[in-house]
Amino acid sequence: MEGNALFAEYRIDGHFDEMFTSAGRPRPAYRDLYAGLAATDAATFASRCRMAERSYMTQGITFSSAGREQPFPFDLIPRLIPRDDWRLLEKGLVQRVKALDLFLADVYGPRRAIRDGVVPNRLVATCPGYQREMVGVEPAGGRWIHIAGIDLVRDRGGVWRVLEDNVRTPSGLSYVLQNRAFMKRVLPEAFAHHGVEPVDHAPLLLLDALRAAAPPDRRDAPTVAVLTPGPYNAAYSEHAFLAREMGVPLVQGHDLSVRDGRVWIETTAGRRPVDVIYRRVDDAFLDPVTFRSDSLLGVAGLMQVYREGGVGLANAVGTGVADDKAVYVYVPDIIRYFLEEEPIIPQVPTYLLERPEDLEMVLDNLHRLVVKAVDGAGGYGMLIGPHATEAERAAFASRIRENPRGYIAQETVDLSRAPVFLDGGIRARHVDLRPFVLYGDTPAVVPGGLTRVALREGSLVVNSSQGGGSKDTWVLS
Amino acid sequence: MMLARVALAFFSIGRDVEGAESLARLMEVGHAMAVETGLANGTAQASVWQPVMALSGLGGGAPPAVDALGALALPVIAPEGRGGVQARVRAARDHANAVRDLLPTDLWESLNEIHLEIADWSEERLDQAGVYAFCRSVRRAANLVHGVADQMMCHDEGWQFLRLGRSLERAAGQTRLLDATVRAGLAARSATGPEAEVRALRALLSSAGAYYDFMRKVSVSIEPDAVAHYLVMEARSPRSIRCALNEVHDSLAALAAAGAIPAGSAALGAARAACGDLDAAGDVAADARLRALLETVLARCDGIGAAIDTDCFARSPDGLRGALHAQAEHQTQN
Amino acid sequence: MPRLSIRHRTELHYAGPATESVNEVRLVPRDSGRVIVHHADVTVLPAARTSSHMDAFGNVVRWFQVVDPHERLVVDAEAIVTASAPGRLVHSLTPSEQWAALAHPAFLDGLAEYLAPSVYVHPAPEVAALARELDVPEGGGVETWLLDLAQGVSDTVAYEKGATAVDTPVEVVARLRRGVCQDLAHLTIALCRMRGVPARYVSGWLYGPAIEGPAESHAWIEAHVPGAGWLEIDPTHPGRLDGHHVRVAVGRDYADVPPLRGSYRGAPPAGMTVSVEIEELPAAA
Repeated sequence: MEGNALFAEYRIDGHFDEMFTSAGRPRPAYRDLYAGLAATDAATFASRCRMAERSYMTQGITFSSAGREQPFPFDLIPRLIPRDDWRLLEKGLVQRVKALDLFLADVYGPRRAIRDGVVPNRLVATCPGYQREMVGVEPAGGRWIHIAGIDLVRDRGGVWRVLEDNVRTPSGLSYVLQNRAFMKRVLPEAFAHHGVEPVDHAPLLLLDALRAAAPPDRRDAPTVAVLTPGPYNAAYSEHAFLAREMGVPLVQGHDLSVRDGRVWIETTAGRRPVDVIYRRVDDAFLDPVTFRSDSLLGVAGLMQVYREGGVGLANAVGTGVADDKAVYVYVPDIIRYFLEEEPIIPQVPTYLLERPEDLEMVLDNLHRLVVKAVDGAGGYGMLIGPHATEAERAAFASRIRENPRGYIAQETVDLSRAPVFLDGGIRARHVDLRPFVLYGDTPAVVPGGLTRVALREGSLVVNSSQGGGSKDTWVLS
Repeated sequence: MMLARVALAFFSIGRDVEGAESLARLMEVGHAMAVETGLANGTAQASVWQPVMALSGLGGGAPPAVDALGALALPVIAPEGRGGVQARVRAARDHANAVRDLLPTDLWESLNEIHLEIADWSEERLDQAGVYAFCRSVRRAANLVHGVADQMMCHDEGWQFLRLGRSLERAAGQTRLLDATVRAGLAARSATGPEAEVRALRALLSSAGAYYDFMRKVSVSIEPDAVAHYLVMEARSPRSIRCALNEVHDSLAALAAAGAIPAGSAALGAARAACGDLDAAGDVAADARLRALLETVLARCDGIGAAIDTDCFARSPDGLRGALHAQAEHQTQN
Repeated sequence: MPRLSIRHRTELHYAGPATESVNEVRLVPRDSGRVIVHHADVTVLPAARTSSHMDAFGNVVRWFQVVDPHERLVVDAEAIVTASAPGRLVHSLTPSEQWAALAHPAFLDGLAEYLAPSVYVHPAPEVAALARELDVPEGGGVETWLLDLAQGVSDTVAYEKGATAVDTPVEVVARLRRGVCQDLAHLTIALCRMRGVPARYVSGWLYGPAIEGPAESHAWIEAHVPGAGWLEIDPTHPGRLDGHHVRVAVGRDYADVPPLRGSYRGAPPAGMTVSVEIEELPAAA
């Protein structure tokens, strides 16, 4: 790092650093990138960053903060994953998603895993994401998880671990594509000397996965639509982006209706059937007849058509039982039970607060643990013990005591850090990785995924809603 | 075949972009005149203030003081003015956002960009950068949108709806503009001299975006009857009412042929009738007969808008917006 | 045991045209040991095809859709059943063993669904206060405790129509001390679960001497006695159930088994009437 002005402020400080060894030398995969950065001056780099930011604004890839639109922060220094590391991760991700998919089919079907004591019945029965409406329902195509976003982290020793699963409506795939597109436009020279696995086929992988959800008699040429809650939703730009990339209509609940055992799009010239709906609307809002009666985002009768196999929904209804953070504890056993394999990617040590002994241990150790709501998302409803105040910990302790099933605790993982350009220089910030698994007939993993960055110094929260940014992620070939 | 909601969005993009653009042009012209003559001057008031207010739908009210030109522009620009430029750009942008999966990248991006650029213009910013800079940005963005729409989009139903919104707005807008000037002019003609009349006509042509073409195409000197005739009847000028109505008719006919609107649609009937009204009018002069014609055309335009609403957009939801907003925001995207 | 002919008519009126009406009906009884269903059907006016499925609790659900504008919707549920009184529970455990069994991990896990809080039934301080107040003795075992509990709820909570709404949660009932059969059922379920006794909600019909009119929609509960099984008890009419209770559907609470649930577009509702008729048929030839 010596002699490089951009890295003047860079510290490794005992964390696992993605770019540098503990001795401060660039890791082999990063050597060319580091050399390239070393040859760049801060002003040039800053102007490239502004270009990227402007692109995000112009394209309307923004979120709203204090009434103003802000671009999603995008960091120009790519995150690199050596090919061999990736091959192993890929296997582990496929393994995990396959097992979760089998688990869902079992939970709503024969319940073998529950009967055989792999997963407690109590855990399922009290899971907020468990949808009783799905008991006995077999989704068209037999698939439950069509798209999964599995959050991976690396600990202080550089070991990859699964932090959590997202198999309801995982978001971020559009950023994988857009980050790459911006990267190519704004900093093309970074690609020199690197072979990078392309990601632009991801929408087609998604489309394939969605088509596999079509009713059997319409598998040849199914009509797919993306169901969005509309422009008020924070992920709307992703919904529009994916619909456009796949060349399928982007619809809202009131654009659809149910007739004669099928779902139809209301067009100016009458109705057109839809075979598969990639829905970015929560289970509870999908159908006001079956779920929340006040829902304005769903379609009355959708669940009946779905139950009868007249339409495919991706992901299936009720997948929340597989990404419940308490069920997470059992995922290694779920993998062993359904696949008869050892889990390839380890997890983070996790405590179930409804076990009295775990509960007491956790309450005594809140200062070093992370506590999460079992159905939380977006970095909300969590406590990072080491960074919380005494008062925050006390408030969380009483919430946990009130509803132990509602929370889990994890050992705080000291997430690995990666270089980020901030305030005119390059600094180390914590990162995670959300790869995407698309599962139609066979599972496919989009190379790399979305690297999320906690931009605030020392912060471990990478969610965009909480001041997180993102990076392009390169799988080196 | 397209979603009713999508059809409405395309229609509205065309309509609101056209509305914003014509309002910006009108303000630019009026502002330039007011700078020289002052609004207290009767001509300036007739040619600037009244058309601006008539066209923006912002109502009457006393003209502002001469030393507050920013204040003149503000109600036309500001977000509080519901028919103002910012509001119409925002409306067009929101409609585009709702169908951005279907729009050419450049169209969505230029609309989004102009929205972001002008959304926070305040009176101070107007004073600093000037009304001209603001108006030019809006005009350029609007023309870019129209150009991209025509040259990049497939001329399918979506495009037809967009063109319909644009041409219907233009037909009605140019009609209102001419009507306001003719009305003011007929009243003021005796009171003012020939020079003032020429200046008013020039302002009218500029506001209509037709000044240079008029000067090149029409050899006679600039006088009310020729100007009126040009603005109403010159089918070759995209700024004329005739041309706009032809486009309205063609879009409706194409949509009917595609089955997007009912074959017997009242909208198509009204468009045909409006074209017929112009055919029957023959030569046009700036007189009471013209005012009657303009009133008829305006009524036809309103009729087309209403019929389209019933035929195509009725299925598109309204109301419920607040609740929808709250629910949409709270969907897990995990 | 007579055969019963049951007619349950729900009539909805709207202030103007209603369209796109989509509904789920849970008014079709199933054979459940003591209730034998000879015939059951749901018909709708305006005419609509109904389709049928079974929910997670084993209840029959009829689904229908009325697309065309209508100002009146009639849902007729008809059934012919034979209902007998529940058989006496056969106990394999002593009273103290029963109470001990409630804490057994396998018992807790297997019946978790009926021990956990549900939409309208959650442990609340008001419910705990009522439990202390009733202080039902446990010496006689779980079955006796349940019968005493139902009696206690019945004595404490006044049956009063209009005091509560269809979505009144259990803590409000515990505070008001007034309510209808649904509220008494919810409250009793809450008291059972709080003591660790799995309990669930039963919706059905009631006729006979216990009530004033010819018949009505009714709600009661089932609670699980370790080593014996589910026991039906009715806190609105405490004492042992007889064949006048016709069981239709079961769930964690009312939210799982509303007789009619749906949505529509158009004019606001202008009234709903429900009438239930139960007639004893002459003995079959």
